[in-house]
Formats: sequence, C-alpha cells, structure tokens
Amino acid sequence: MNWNSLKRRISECTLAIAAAAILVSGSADIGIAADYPAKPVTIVLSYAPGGVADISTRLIAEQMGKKLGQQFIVENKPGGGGILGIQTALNAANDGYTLMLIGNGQAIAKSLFTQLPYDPEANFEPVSMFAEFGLVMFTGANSKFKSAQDILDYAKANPGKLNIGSINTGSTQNLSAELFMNVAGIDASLIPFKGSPDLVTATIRGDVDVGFEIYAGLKSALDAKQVIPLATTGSNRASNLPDIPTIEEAGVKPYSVTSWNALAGPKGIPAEHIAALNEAVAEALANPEVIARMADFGMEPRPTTPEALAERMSADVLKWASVIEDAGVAKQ
Amino acid sequence: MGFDLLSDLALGLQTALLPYNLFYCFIGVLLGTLVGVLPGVGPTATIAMLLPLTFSLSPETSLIMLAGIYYGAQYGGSTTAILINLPGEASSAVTAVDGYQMARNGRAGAALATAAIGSFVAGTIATLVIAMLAPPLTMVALQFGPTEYFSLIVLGLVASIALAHGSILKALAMIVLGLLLGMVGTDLYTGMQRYTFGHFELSDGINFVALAVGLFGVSEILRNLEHERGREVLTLKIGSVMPTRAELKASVAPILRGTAIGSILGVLPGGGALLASFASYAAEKKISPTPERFGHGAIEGVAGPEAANNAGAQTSFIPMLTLGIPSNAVMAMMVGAMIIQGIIPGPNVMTERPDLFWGLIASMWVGNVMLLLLNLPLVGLWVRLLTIPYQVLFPAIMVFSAIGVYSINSNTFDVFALLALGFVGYILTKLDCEPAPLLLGFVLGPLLEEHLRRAMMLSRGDPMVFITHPISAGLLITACIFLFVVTRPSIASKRSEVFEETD
Repeated sequence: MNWNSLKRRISECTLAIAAAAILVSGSADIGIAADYPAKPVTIVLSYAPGGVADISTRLIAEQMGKKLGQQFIVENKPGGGGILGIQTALNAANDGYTLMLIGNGQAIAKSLFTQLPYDPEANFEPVSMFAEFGLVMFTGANSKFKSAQDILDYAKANPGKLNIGSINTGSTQNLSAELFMNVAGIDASLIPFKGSPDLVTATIRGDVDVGFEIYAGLKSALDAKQVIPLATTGSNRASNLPDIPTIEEAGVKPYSVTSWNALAGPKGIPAEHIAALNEAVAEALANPEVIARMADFGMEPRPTTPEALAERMSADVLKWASVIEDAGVAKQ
Repeated sequence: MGFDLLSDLALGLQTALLPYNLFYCFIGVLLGTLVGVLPGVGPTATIAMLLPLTFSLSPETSLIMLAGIYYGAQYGGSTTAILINLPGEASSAVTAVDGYQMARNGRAGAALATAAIGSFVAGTIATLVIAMLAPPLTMVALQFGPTEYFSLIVLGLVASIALAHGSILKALAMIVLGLLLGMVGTDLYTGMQRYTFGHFELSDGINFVALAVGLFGVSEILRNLEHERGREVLTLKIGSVMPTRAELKASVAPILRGTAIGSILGVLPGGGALLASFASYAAEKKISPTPERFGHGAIEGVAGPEAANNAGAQTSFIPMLTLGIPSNAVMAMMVGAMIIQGIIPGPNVMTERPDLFWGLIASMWVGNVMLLLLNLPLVGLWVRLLTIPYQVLFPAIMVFSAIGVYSINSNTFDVFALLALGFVGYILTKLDCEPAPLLLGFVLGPLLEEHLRRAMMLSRGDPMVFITHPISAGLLITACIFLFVVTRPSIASKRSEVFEETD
C-alpha cells in the first residue's frame, strides 16, 4: 500500500460515515430503481491489496463510479482461502450495495471443499464478467527443453521423470497442470509452490522442468528472458504472446483453460440494479486506460450478460469437478 | 570488489538519505531509544506492534524504520542500565553491572559516553561487515535448492536451541510448539486443512502479526501489570560526559573485541544482541589482568558489551537479507514485514531490489550517527521519560495493538487470536519459557516442511540427497557438531555460567 491508497482509505472512511448518515436520514428512498445507487457501493475482494485482482478491480470500480455517479469502494478481505471475503458479501443485504469479485476459483471451490458455506451457482447473483486470462506453460532460459513437443517427448520416453511446478494445490494453475498431464497421458510429478516467485526461481534453477502460471506472475521473468514461454493454455493464441502456440496446437487435445474474474452479488438483487451495473461494467471495460492496464497483466476485457456469466460458472463447475475427480485431488 | 562495495554503498546512501527515508529512520531510532529506555517494552514488542503501521509505507522505508527500532533500542537500553541499574533491554543487563557502579562513582557521564561511542564504532564496523559479507553469501545462496534450504534450517534450529538463553529443554519445547503452530492452515502439498477445527479464518494459518504482538506485546503488558516497578529516578549527577584519556584508552580494545564477538554471534541463528553482550563481558573479564575490578565500575565491562550488542543487532540482518532465513525473533518479524509488502526474502532481494537492500544497510550507519547525536546531549530527557505513568502507556499500547492487528485482514477473529495469544505468552513467561524460540519455530517450521517435502518429491523419495549434495551435507555436519558440543557437560556448565553472569 502507498500513500495514495492510504488517502483513499481515509476518504473511504469519510464516505462510509457520510453514507451511514444518508442511510439514517433517508432510508425510505433506498430501493427505488431510478435512485440506484443512492449511496456508495462496496465491492468485497477476497485478495490482499496490491495484487493483480486488486489493481484491476480498483480501476474498473473507479470507472463504474464515474458512470453511476457514486463511489465504488473496494474492500479487501483476504484470508480463509478466499472464502471469508465471499461469505462477507453474501451475508450483506441483497440491495445492490454490496458486491464481490468472483472468479473460476469459486467454480473450483465447489468441488474442492466438502464444507463450502455457500453454493457458487445458487447463492450468487451474476452481474458481468470482467476479464479472461490464459495461463502460460514455461521453462527456464537454460532448460534443455525448447518447445512443448520436447517436454512431451521427454515425458513419454522417461515416465515418472518430469517435474512440473505450479502454485498451491487446488489453484487454477495447479489443476491446469493436472489436466495437461491427464490429457497428454504422461506420468510426471506435480510440485506445488507457495507463490509465483518461488516457482519462477525453481524453474530457472532447473528444480522443476516446466511450470504453469498466469501471465502476470511471469511478466518480469519473461521480460528479463529468465524464463521462456512454451505454450499458452487458451483455445486461441494469447494476444500478448502471439508467437507462442496453444497447448492444443502442440498436440494435447482437448485442452483449453482460461481463468476469469467477474462481478457478482448475493442472490436476489433487483433486476434494474443488475442492469445498471452491467451497463457500467461494459462501459468501464471499454475505457482505453483500463484496457491498457489489463493488457499489462495479460487480461483480456470480456463484458458479458449476467446470463452468460451464470452459464460460464456452471460450465466451469462441471469442468473442474471432472479434473479434480480424474486427478484424484483430495477434497478439503 | 572494492569499487563495487563503494558504488553499492553509494546507491544505498542515496536511498537512505532521501528526506522521506531519513525521517522514518529518525522515527525508528527515536522509538528504539524510547522503548530501550522504558523497561518492560522491548524492541521485539514494539516492532510487532508497529508492523501494521508500516503497510502504508514503501518496503524500504518500513524496513529502515523497523531496523532503526532494533538497533536504537540497544542504545536506549544502556541509558537506564547505567543511571538507575534497570536494564531497559535484556541485552543491556550486563552493562548495568559495571555501568551503574561507574555512575555511583560519579562517572555516569563517562559511562554513557563510552556506551554510545562503543555502540557507534561497533555499528559502523558492523555496517561494513554486512556490506562485505552479504554479496558473496548471496552468490552462495543462489546455489540453494530445497535440499540445501532444508539443511540450513535444521542447522538454524539446532543452533538457536544451543544458543538460547536459559534452559535447553525449554528452548526446545518452545521451538517445537512454534513448529506446531506453524502447521495450522492449509497444507501446501495436498490442500488439506490442518488444525483449523472447521474455522475458515484459520485456513491461511495463524496470523503472524497477531502471534507476534500477542506473545511479545500483550504478554509483556500483562506481566508489567503484576507489580508496579520501583521507578524512582535517581537524581544522580551525570557528571562530565567526556571520558578521561585513560578511560578512552582502556575502552579501545574492548570495543574492538566486542565488535568482533558481536559480529560473529549476530550472524549465528539464535544469536544477536543478547548473547553478544554476555559473551563480550565474559571475554573481557577473562582477558583483564585485574578481573577483580569487574562488578565495581570497570569501564571495559561497559565498552565491550555495548559494542557487542550493537554489532550483533546489526549483523543478525545478514542471514535474513541473503538467505531469507531469520536468525532471531526480530528478524522473523522483518521477514514478516517483507512478505506483507510483497517481497520474498532471499537472495533475489539484492539483485531485484538493490535500492532496498543497500538502502537498508546504509541506513544503519545513518541511524547510528543519529543515535550518537540523540543520546549524548539528550540523556537527561530520556531519563525523565521514565516518569510516564503506566496507566497511560499500557491502555494506549493495547488499543494500538488491537487496531493494528485488525487492520491487516479486517477480521475480528485476529483480534481474539491476539488476546488469546497474549495470555499464552504470559503463561509461558511465568513458566520461564522464552517466546522468542517459539516465534522462530513458527516462521521456520513451515519453511522446513516445505523444503523437506519438495526435496523428497524431487528425489522421488530418496533421503540420500541431503548427504550427496555437498552444501547440504556440510550444513548437516555442522549441525551435528553443534549438537555434540553443546551436550558436552563441560560446555553445558560453561553455557549457563555465561548467561548467569549477572543473575
């Protein structure tokens, strides 16, 4: 956090007090669609300040605020494996003043956790998707592997010898690697790391032969040519790495993984509010500054209808359930 | 190499001398002196409580300030030790022995000046030692994979038990308790929840800041509440601040020896300021042709330990900065501060954040200059601080701690954890169990497990890798030697002798 965000926090506090005053004095007005939003809207974020999710959400929130004439406050509530933040938002009133950032992590969580205190399909009111971002399969600059094909050839000739790295077990990155091993039919060890810097260091050192990570986590190492990209995980080539083939192009089919994040709220937000929010998201995602900053993180803006977001969630719930099942990942 | 060192230090000074960083360095050493003077509030507790405040600062600024508190406290602690025989800091306990006697002989000013000058000389030399040692160590660290890290952490844990203050058995118990508390949360390798008892609040583990503030901050306050300590400030004549020519001459060698002892012990895991000052006092007494003067105002007994504790405080940054492995509780908190700022401590810090790395090192020297200026002319002011009533001080610290812990995750669970851990810390100190090894175990435990399991996964279950990798083998052998040596009866009795020098 820097001074600006501290100042923002202070102004958020001031606004929250002002909002409370409005709430007390004129609560009868709230709920009338034409007035929405009549007070600041909070977006609960299950991530710590400073990360990709935080920065991109703040950018979008700022634009949405300009469009709707109200402050959109991003409240960080990290911890509890992302569950605490979602729970906080779901426990708030479904009046459209508390929203949350969701992503395919929630689609995974549905199958991964045995005691998830909510259902990502039944309890979420979708607003719009924000962005999609593919993953990158990469290796160290000094690695003997020069292409995805090299990896596959080696793994097939030497069963059980290849080491693949990813961040935490159950993350999108980790399950993408599981899916890769499964579809390619190779026998390798999948080694989890605490965060991308640890994974990148281990890949540069050659402790692991190949890693799976989102572009944002690799950007500085890619720019410094410490690691080289071998393939991308989307069904189409990534616009920020146009020369790098997809995993399907490398012969591993069917394979397509894109991570995404989106805006949602607790179930039951009035439809007019959802429509207003959806429009504001679409406008924010057309802003050149937002597009440019997201491109830095390897994120492609993808405004959708609420229905399309709900479909994507359901499709990914099914997809990850089968990956988790096939890979034999232990339920938490 | 020589030129590199100069240009690196120049880069560091550029960062350290930015007005912003100078300001926070000053705040750090000022706070350090303050808590050093006040008995019952130590640098570990202060750093723990200030951690949340630093999130709004840039990483280099926050580390510069936190480091300032640590070595600043080494100065402040000596002031009360000399003037009122009340060591503000554990590491100043030996200074009180001869420093207070000097004060009673009317040489208080000289004792204070000797302590400050000794600390300054040691601080300057230790800064150079860090600047020279850190780059080569960083090169070695880049060779470190999971196997080497595992063995290094084993060595660190063994050494910190061996060098712990007090009973070996209790230190071992505290380390193990720390290791177990570190296990709480989601297992990295399987994703399973461990010891969370169905609380999602615990799935990312026990909050580090809540643990540190609870064990050190809250528990210290609880302990102080037991009995209002006698704090009558003696209206002692401080006397001439300038030591006599003879006193200066007698101090030179102890200061240099203390610096050497402190620099070496600071690097060792579990070492740092406390052990350094005890060891230096023991050494001076042994070397002296007139050991009978010790305990009756021997200036060597002030100069040596004061130099040693400051040198030790500073060189204990070396393993943290180069390997990312904390050697004591304060360094564990520095690691925590870096991680919260998004910096992974380790060999990459020097290459990726040279401004932070060298800025922190250079700031130590800048901070030592400030401390010299702050401490000599303002001694009277510091002593008057002792009259702040605890009924004002303690509630303020408690409120501040609770807000700080809450602000990290906006989670009330962490505030309850803070309170619970405060009581745990209080009970532990009542049982004469030091919380410092616990914190070290808490930080090192998860790393130990992570690297052990990763090394075993990479070797496909073959434990021989720890012996076949030369660096790893060397570290494990060193750990065995350590274990062997401290369990020798002759060493064991010597060990308690060193620590019980002043008890």
